[in-house]
Amino acid sequence: MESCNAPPPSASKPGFLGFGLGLRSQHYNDILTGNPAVDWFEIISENFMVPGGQPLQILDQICERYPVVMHGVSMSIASTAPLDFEYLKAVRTLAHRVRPKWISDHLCWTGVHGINLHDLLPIPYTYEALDHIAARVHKVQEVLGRPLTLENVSSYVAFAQQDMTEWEFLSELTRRTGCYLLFDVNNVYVSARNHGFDPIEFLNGIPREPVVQFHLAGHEDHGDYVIDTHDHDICDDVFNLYRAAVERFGAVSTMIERDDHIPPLADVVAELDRARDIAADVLEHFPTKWTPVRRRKCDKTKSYSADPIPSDRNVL
Amino acid sequence: MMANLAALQHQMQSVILRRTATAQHGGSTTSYQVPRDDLLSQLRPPAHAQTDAMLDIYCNAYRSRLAEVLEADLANLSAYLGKALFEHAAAGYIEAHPSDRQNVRWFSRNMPDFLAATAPFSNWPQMAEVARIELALADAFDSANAETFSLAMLTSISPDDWATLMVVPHPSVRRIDALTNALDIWIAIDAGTEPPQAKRLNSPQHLIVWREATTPRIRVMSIDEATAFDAAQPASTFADVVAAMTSFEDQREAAKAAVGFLAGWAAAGMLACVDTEAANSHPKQETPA
Repeated sequence: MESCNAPPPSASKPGFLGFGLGLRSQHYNDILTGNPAVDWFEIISENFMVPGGQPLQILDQICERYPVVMHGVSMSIASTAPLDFEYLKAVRTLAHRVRPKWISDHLCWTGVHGINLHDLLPIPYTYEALDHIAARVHKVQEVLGRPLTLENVSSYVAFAQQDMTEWEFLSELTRRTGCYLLFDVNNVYVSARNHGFDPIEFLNGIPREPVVQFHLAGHEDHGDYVIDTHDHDICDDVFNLYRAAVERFGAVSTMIERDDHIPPLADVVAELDRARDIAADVLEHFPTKWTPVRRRKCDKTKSYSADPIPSDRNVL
Repeated sequence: MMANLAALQHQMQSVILRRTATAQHGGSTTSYQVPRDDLLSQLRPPAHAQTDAMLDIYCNAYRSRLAEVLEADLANLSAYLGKALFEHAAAGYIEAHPSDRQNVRWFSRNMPDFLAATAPFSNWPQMAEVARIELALADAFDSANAETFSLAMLTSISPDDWATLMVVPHPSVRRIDALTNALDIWIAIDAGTEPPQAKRLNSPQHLIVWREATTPRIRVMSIDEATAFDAAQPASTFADVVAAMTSFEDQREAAKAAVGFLAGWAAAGMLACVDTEAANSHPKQETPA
């Protein structure tokens, strides 16, 4: 077992941003011409890791108006293939442009042998994997010059030999590397259903300090199993788990991921308001200086010409 | 005994890809399916479903996700081929060209060559060309930025400086020489109308794709204009462009035509600014991750 516990590049823990949405091309026009009640946006990093053109122009306009965080899908932090430093440099270049509050990716692997399966593949929760991933997180944090934020993924298979639970693995990884956690509430729900563990036990097994963000999303329920599709409204069970997460972790920046069957912006904003209401209800009973943000004022009203925009490719 | 992490990832990827492995036995080579059962034996039974079915979620998601990418990137080709034939093409492409980039943005890039080289699609060369047009437009959309060399800049050039004027295509420019009426087909599909009957052309149709402000454009060039433009890639002087226009017997006539072409390119935003003192400083495209 590796004993390395080097601190991450110096940075203070990001503060609470309020309630945000995943930035999706279908909503660009409404965001830039309207004033949606959204406190911040999360971008899929890879959608903007392109040479130029309109995507980056729109991104610049969004960044002028809203706090933005970067969320990647291709870092493959758990892969046994060598780290892709060209990819990491591209992430860093985009971060210079966006000035994100934090940079996140997933605790998973996406491929080996030069192939990318463009999926978030599960890992065995072993000390071997922990040593391997912790070493890579240190390297990534050196390149990015800041702590990395890692998200727990949904999984459909689990490995027979495991040295610890997923929540123990995440906790130990943050302790060793100083990385932050993006706690995906829906993913915990999906994996709990698929593997038969108690999501509250998962939640209570995660330390409070490293958690900087919550994800909320919908899924596809097949009865015997659940698939994390991000193409449905958020179900009551996930909202209930979110309530429990807020009770444990307090005021944590929260956002909704919607990647398919994307409804009008107003509908997603209404769903986001439900999360606001839950957090406001819970936090009334907890000591916090946070006051719920209802609407972020936007002073700039630049016009936006709606040229054809290709669909977001990198969504998982 | 659990395989180590590297072996496990190799095994799981092979199962998802449904890859065959090869083994040498003396002088002969045997292909066999990577044993799915070996992986299954290392998985813990899920809460309610079958382990096999849960593993299939990854196998199926891999293909359906990439098929969705192809459908999004090549929507007009899909409409032209129809659902069944496009799915056939997509399935063949996904097996033949696993993604080798971190960004799925570039996954579709080899589809034109795949269609051109793979039966039955190779029997209908307009399919590959429709794909080539569609991807060129997508490339132009998010290609590198560069300050455009405008018509006003062109008209301000002193006559003495014309010969050494650098002609540099904008990074968004793509050139295609089509052997079929693929452009007419693509335009009809894009407009939601019935595409014309496919046909081979007697001579290539010279197409240029570029980005004007934020909008991708495509138009046809004459053989003379295409020859002149190709001479300018990646960067040449105006004199080089004129010298390449060998169909003109009179160089003054060639220069006159080249001025007209240049004015048209500058007005359309097909050219990029360049420092004339740094002949090799034409704008470079960023390497996609």
